[in-house]
Amino acid sequence: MSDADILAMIERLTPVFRDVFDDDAVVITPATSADDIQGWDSLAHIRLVTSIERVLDVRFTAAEVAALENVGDLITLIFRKRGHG
Amino acid sequence: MADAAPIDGWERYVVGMRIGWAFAIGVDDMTAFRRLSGDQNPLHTNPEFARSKGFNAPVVYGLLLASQISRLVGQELPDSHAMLVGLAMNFASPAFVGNELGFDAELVTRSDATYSLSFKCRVTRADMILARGTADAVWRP
Repeated sequence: MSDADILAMIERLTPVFRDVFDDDAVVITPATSADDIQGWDSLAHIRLVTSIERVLDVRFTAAEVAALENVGDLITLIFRKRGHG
Repeated sequence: MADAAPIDGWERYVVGMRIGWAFAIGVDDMTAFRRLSGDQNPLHTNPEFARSKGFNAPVVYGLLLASQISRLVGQELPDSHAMLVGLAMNFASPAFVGNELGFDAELVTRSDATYSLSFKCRVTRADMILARGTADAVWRP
């Protein structure tokens, strides 16, 4: 997973985050966590995960989601799921 | 990373499962909803006004049709552990007091990562679809 891969994934995830949090100003980086985005509560987290699963056509497990600490972990997980880890 | 063991009961939620029932909206329901919501629009109360808008009778409040989503999530699922977290509904044709209506729902998405469920829902009268919508729920045993 190269820096270009990470940037490309951030570009794909950004509209999902903006839709879920209903905020076109949301900017994400690999270090972004729930503490950085207003409204990232447990229900928003569910909407975020299910939206990402739908948009990227990936499926996560509850354990995988529970282990995520930031967007970087999420991107790593997505690439691993796609066999590009 | 090891997968978490599935929680007992989750397996009863199978994508494609369908649930449905018949219902009707009565005068008492309209009165109660008018009081609860504060929506006094004569479209829902005055036959003459409703006719002036092209309807044969006062139109049932759309949210009374959508109320069946509450029954779906709270009452008709395999257990009592689901909680409604979102809904959307579009109303295509009016329902009238006393109509024999049908509500049906299909589970279209089940997320094992978040234990969440998404349903497609319809309200029908005979073969006509009066309303379509979606309902999202989380499952917390």
